[in-house]
Amino acid sequence: MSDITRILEEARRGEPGSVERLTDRLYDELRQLARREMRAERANHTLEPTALVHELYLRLLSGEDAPTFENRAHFFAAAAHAIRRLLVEHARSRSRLKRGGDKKRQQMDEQALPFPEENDGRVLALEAALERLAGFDPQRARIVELRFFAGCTSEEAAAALGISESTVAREWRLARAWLHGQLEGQSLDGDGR
Amino acid sequence: MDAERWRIVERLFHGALDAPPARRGEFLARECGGDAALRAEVERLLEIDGQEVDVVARYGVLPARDVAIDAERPDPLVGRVIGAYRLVKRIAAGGMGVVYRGERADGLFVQDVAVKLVRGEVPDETALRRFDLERRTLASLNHANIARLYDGGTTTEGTPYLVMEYVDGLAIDAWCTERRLTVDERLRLFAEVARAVHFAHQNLVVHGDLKPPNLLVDAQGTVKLLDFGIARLMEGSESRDGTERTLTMARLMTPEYASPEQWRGEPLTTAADVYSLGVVLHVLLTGRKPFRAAGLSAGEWERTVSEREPTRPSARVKARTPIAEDEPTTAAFAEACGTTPARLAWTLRGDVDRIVLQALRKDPARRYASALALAEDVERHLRGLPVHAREESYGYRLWSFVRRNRLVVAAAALVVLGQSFALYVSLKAEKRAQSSATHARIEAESFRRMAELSLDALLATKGQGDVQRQATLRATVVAQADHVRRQYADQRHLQANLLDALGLFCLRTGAADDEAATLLREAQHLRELEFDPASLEHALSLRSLAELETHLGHGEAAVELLERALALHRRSNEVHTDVAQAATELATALRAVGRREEARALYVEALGIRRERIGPRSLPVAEELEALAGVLVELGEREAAVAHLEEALSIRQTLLGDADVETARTRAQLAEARSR
Repeated sequence: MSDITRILEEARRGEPGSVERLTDRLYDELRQLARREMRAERANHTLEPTALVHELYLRLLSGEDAPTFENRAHFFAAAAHAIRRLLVEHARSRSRLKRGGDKKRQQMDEQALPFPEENDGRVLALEAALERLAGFDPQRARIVELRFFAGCTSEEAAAALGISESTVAREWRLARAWLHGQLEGQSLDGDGR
Repeated sequence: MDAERWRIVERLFHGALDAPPARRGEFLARECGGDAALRAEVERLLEIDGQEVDVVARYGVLPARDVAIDAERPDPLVGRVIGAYRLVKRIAAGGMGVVYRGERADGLFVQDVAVKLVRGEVPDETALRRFDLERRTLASLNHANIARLYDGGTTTEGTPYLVMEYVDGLAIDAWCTERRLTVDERLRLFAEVARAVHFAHQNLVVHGDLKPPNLLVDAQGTVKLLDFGIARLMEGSESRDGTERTLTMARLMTPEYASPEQWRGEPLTTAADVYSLGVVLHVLLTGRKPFRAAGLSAGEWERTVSEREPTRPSARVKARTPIAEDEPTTAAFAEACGTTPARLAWTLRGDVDRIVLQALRKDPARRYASALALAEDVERHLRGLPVHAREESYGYRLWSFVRRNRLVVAAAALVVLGQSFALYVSLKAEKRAQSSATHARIEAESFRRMAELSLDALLATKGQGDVQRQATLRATVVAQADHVRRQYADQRHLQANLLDALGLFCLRTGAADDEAATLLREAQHLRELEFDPASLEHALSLRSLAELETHLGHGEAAVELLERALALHRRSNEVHTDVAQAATELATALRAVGRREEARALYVEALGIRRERIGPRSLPVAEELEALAGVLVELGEREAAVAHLEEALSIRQTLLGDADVETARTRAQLAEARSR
């Protein structure tokens, strides 16, 4: 049993701190994986976050016996959180470093990850909205996170959060409307889609 | 917003959604009281909800995009020499790597090439050897419509690369649009593609990523297939564990063109290419893909591609289906084919529909056996010859639907099944007790299979309206019968039992009279071949056919059949309760055509047998008494009828209780007989 499977088992049993450990661990893995993709490409190559999550999933879990649906759900829940953190931190540091001098620019190259810069605006806008939502409705915020960052279906999100699929569908409906109300018309610094 | 107010918003939002649209305003006015801000907020959310915005696509970070070719930022690789070639310009980038246009670095002769740098990890030595071997196989692929692979190797950093023929052309779909190719011209071009794919297959090379950007047409109109075998080459170069990589590959490739089995991560086969060709053909003929992956999660897409049946292309071009931004309108597409939507639909209807759908089958074994078979069918159509493609039988599609939903209503269906087949089963059970071991085995097998078949048939109609339900039952019965004929081809006895039972099922559920007739006659024919003329098996068929005739309103024909059946039963002397049953059936048929005296005699005889064989206070006796009472009433013998019904009622009360439905029915019959 790999340590990932072990942490997943702990998360399933509800051991304190296991979810955080899992998220931290996945964060490191995702970061490494993203860096590796970047080096292999040697060009301004971009990567789709969900592809990254799936790649990580294959890398970490496919060697094991088929992971249970529950383990899979926990994995995606933690991975969604980790990739969100990675994207947000990367977007923030990029905007910080862009304002710095040459030394900062060099630092930026070293830390570059294959996430397109034009996405930074939408990453940060989404993050701000999600943080607001989590302030008064943490469960809905988790659903949004799973949908957005791990590409989870209602079924997967339900399993990850231990609630019914119909609850997810219901909660998502209002979350969707609220998000659109928050984000519509905001400048995303992106391609305007 | 604080959590408390949010809870209120949430309650009102869902409350309004649950209310009928016409009453929403009223609901909100009542619930919000004087809080106009609250009401405005909820109304705004409801309005947005109605727009069904795909927020994930709109605000998410998910959409896959290839690297934009950024002219302003210098590409560090341009100008670099790899092997014998200098990289001149970056021309494409995708999931599998980056492609540059290259030229001979030594200037010995002018030759433009495409250099593809493979993305991914640095391969180990075994993988490299395999990469090398595959590369040689690809290099030997010499065909006018396949872009040549000239060279390959690894860069000094260890990145594998390939040097290929540079094709200056347009993607096949764009070319067809630009040249306004007619449907026939498109088909001709496609047949060339399929033949080239077949050539590669014969050389043991599978493409694995067939899609328009890999099918270029040059200025002379020659189509060239790019990237042959690249999918597998990369699989070989990068993987230590093939399946893992294949799955990743499938997820990296354009999902709409990947076959269901590729998407599930199964090994790449020629059948996967046939599927992708089907998607390409669909795009060339309708301007859109069979299914859209945009906005779906991996899981949702997998379900779509492995379960949803594609719509016929002819229906796609005329249907007012919602059109995505990147899809042409039907009118625009038809114009690009030099025709109108209506005429385009007409052209596609029939053969072309069938060809496309056969290539797109979910089950690889049910697609065209090869790319050549697909090419030939297209060419056959172009020459006006009948094509080999067949519509997937409705029955098969249902069968697979049923398989997927087998467990859903199993319990409920079993109840219905029990009723439908109660009679059939009781007959069989009685026979079984007195027949030889072989007979018993066959009867048991018949019953087991029949139970399965009818369960599936009933499952398939779950939740359907009457009209649809009839159609579904009919289709299922047809498919099941086909299955029975194949599976039990050499076991006539069993086959006859099952077809007979399917026929009766069809008849009793009202699915299809003509199909019932076919099945029952077929069973009869099989029994004639298998059993001697005095055999009771014939009596079974005669009785089934009589039921059909009765159903069709041919009372005299039913009587005639049942007379023959009863005669067989009497002669056999084998199972007396069968005689009673046959006599009862004949009596009922006689009664229906007004031959009441004869009916009475038979009911009396049957009653006697049942009393003696089953016991005087049994349900069959009660049924017989009720039937006899019915004909007695018609004959004006009211007192006798009342006496019989009293006896029947007493039996039912004892065995079933006073509250039972059947008991109540008998009581009502008795009351009516008394009142006359």
